[in-house]
Amino acid sequence: MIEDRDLIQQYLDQLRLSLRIPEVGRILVEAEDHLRAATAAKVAEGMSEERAQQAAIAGFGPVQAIVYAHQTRHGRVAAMLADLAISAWRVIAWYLLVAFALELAGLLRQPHPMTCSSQTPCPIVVFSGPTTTAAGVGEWVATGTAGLALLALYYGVRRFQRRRGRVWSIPLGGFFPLAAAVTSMLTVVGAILTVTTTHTDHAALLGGVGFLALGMGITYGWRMGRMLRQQERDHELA
Amino acid sequence: MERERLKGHLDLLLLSVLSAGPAHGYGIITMLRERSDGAFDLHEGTIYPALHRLEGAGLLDSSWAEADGRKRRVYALTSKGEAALSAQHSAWRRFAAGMQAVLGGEPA
Repeated sequence: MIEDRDLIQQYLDQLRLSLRIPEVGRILVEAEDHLRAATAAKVAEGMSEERAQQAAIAGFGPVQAIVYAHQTRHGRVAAMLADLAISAWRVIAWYLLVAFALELAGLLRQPHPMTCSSQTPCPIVVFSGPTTTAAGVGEWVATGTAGLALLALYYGVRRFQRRRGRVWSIPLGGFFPLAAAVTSMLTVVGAILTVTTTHTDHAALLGGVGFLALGMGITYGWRMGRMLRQQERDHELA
Repeated sequence: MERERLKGHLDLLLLSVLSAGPAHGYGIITMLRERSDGAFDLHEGTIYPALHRLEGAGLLDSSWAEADGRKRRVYALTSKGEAALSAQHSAWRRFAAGMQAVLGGEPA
């Protein structure tokens, strides 16, 4: 009898959504047979049903490991490129929004635009606010609009894919940290070069990446901590 | 034993277990664990891609069966699989003897 909190079914659902290969039906049937047989053996040894299911799933392996094992070399490369593209998409969207927000904060704090010159160069992170010229305001609005549009499109596509029974890699997983680190590093270098060579007042736009990188670092660290703790629990159960 | 080191020998282990007779995935894992006295620790779910690959190479054959009201895939060694097992077994013995000769000491 399948209980309300059937962990095996939840695991199989996750596996079904993550596997993108034609043999998914056979793989799921074999996985279910394996997990139910392992659970029955553990229950016969005296474990509770729930704990037996947890131990069976832990012994079978994390969904990512199973998906990776079933992927062909070609499939792994394709998944890696897709993950990289998706990560870059999300990072760029958030970066544009953070830059927009920093410019807005600058406008609220300091309504008069800062003037940078060779005698008083702009610091890397400065709340200068958008320039008062039409071109400056247009650029600022375009930054926010592009960020919002990219993010909305990202979540829209993700929702559409989920409805079709497909999920992307775990949030903040895969190449997200790498994409974030590279994007941040390149932008910081760009900011330093821009400020030191042109004395532009767009430093806030570029320097905003520091805040974004910090936020992503904290979030990623928190997620990784949770994941590692879960793996430790799985290992103990196995 | 480390998972990565075990992966290099997984085909031989699977063929060897199935030389005793047809078995399903969970049965194969159980036999592997019992025969190795628990030394082989790998994610159980990762043996299925290896079984599918061996089947694709013609070394195994498989068919559906039913047990406890569930569908179950049962794997069996083919004649080509028996030949491959024999060849891999010989290669492993040569390798193990070579390792033993270099490392010295009493055989484990």
